[in-house]
Order: sequence, then structure tokens, then C-alpha cells
Amino acid sequence: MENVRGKIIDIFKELKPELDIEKSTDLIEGGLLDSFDVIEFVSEVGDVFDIDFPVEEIIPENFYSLDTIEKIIKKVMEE
Amino acid sequence: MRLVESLDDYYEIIRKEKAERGRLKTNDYMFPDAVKRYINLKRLWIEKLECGLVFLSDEERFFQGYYYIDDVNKFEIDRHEKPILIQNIYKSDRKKDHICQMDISLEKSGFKKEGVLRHAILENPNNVLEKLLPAEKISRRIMEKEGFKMMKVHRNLMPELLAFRDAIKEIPFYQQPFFSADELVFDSEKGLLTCVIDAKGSIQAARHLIMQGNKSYGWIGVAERYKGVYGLASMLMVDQLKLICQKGILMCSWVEQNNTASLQYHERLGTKWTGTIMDEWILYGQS
Repeated sequence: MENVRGKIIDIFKELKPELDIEKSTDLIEGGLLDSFDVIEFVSEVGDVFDIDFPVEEIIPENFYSLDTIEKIIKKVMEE
Repeated sequence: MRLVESLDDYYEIIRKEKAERGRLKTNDYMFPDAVKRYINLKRLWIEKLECGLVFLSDEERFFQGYYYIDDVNKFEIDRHEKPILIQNIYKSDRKKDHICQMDISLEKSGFKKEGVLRHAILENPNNVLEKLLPAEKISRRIMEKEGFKMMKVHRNLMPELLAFRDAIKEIPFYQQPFFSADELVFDSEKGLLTCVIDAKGSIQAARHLIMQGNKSYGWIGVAERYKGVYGLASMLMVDQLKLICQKGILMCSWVEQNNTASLQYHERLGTKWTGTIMDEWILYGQS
């Protein structure tokens, strides 16, 4: 599979350069990302990976960390 | 237009629309908890459009619209008995083409752009608290001498609190979302909602900190006759900052970008602009 993790990091560097996505966890509950950030990220992911991110997967648990984000995107890509 | 019955219903509506139309443009930033809340309150409606659909949350004095559409050029919605608010949110240096096109469609459809707001976070609430404390102590002594009291908002005061909030000129009606009496009592118990009453027991100032995850958005209001008199707003701000510092909450705000005085005030507080912008579009009602 293409370099999903690298592309996710690139998206965050563009959208939220002040966030160290590789080291941060508890992104939403910890206030590092809010719902606007998530929707913008999902929109970029749609364009970059050519996927339609299911709305029911836009939940804080899937956006806990870079690992969980990578996992959910790969899952959606395989569907 | 019908009520959305459950979270599964909400997901199924969107899934069906996507299956029919492919990828959709949306301004829906609600997490599941927010959607569930509206559904439980029986305040989330769905309306089909020519180019997709819109969810309408009933905020009592207005609807807020969350669209899912395939062709932004075809967006159109009928006037309802209440005004409809649509918010489009974007980064200031990256306003996407579809949002620019949506601006044109919203205007054609009869919407008025009533606000462009900048998003801010207060990074060092402790610093601000330290600066405001000395003046607050003086204000508090004067206030108490006049028979005023800061307190929780009890259930029996809620109607007065809401009437007070609705009368605040600085906060347009479409920035005052609906809260049930139970929700307001809950917030009051947690120290998020506080008022100042005069010697007769009438509300003369109030504040409400509205939580969205770990972020908070709030308002502070003072009755016209007491503005700049006892420092009630500063006192409520100190009360709010103490809570924020104690609980480690992030204090955020949306500031109208043409309101120079407010922008300067926020900068003096040490606010950081996040680069996120929100356009507020209103379709006024039939009446």
C-alpha cells in the first residue's frame, strides 16, 4: 500500500503545522484537534487518497493518534 | 422535512445520499455526541434538496443548516418560518473553490452574509487572571456593598436568564443556540453558568461557558445600566478564568473580523489567532 502514514503527516503539516502529529495522542479529547480540524482533514484525505470517508467513522476514537488515523484510512481504502 | 430518529437513521441518510450521488460537499462538523444530543431533544430535521440534503438543527429562534450536496452551484433552500444559519469554516489562506462557489449560491438563494469571524485561543489564561485579579477584588467589594451577589443560576431563574441572554445586543440571535432547562441547570451546577443578581434578586449580569470537548466558548453579558459601573464583566471574566485554569480547559472564541475594538481587546488578552475563519450566512424567515 502507498505511503499512507507519510501522506497523513504531510496533510497535518499543511493544515496544522504547530501540531507534532507523530508524537501527540488524545488529539480530540486533549483539545489538539477540534471538529473543524477533523472535517478539514477528512476533506483533504478524500482528495489525497481518493476515498469517501464514512461519516460514522468520524469519531474521536479514530482520531486518537497518528496510528489510529492511519489504521482507519487503510481500512477505508480496502473497503 | 422530517425528524431524524436516531444516530443510525442519520448515518443511513448520509450513506444513501452518497450511494446515489457520489462524494458530497459538506459543512457538517458535528461529532456523534452532538448529533445524538439533537436527536434526543427531537430537534434535528432532515430536508431533501435538489442537489442533496440539509440537516436542520432547531435552535429555537433559528435553524442551523448542515448540508451534504453534490453540486454547490445548484444549492437552493426554501425560506422557513425561522431564519436558517449556514456556517462555512475554512483556513484563511486556503478557502477552497467549492466554498467560494457556495458563497455565490448562498447569495443567489437569498442568504445574507452577516458575519466573518476569526477563531482565537487564549494561550495563557493564568497571565490574564493575574492581571485582572487586583481590579476584580475592588469590584467585588463595591458590588457586595450594593447588595449584588454572584451565584449559580437556579432552575427557577432560567427563564429570566434566557430573556437576559436574548436581550444582549452584542450577541446576534444566530449566535445563541438552544439549551434545554436541564442542560442549563447541569452547566450551572458545574460552575459553567453564573449570574450576578441585584438586591431585588434580578439578573444584571451573567456568563456561560459552553463546552465542546476540551474547548470552551462563552459569552459574558451585563445589563445596559450597569455597563462600566461596577466592573461586573471583569468580575465574571475572572470567575471564568479561575474555572478554566483549575480544570485545564482551553478558552476559545470567534471574533467578528470587522470589530476592531474586539480584535484589539482579544490581542491585549494574549489571544492567539488560529487562522480558521467562519462565514455566517442567514436566510431570514418567511414572517
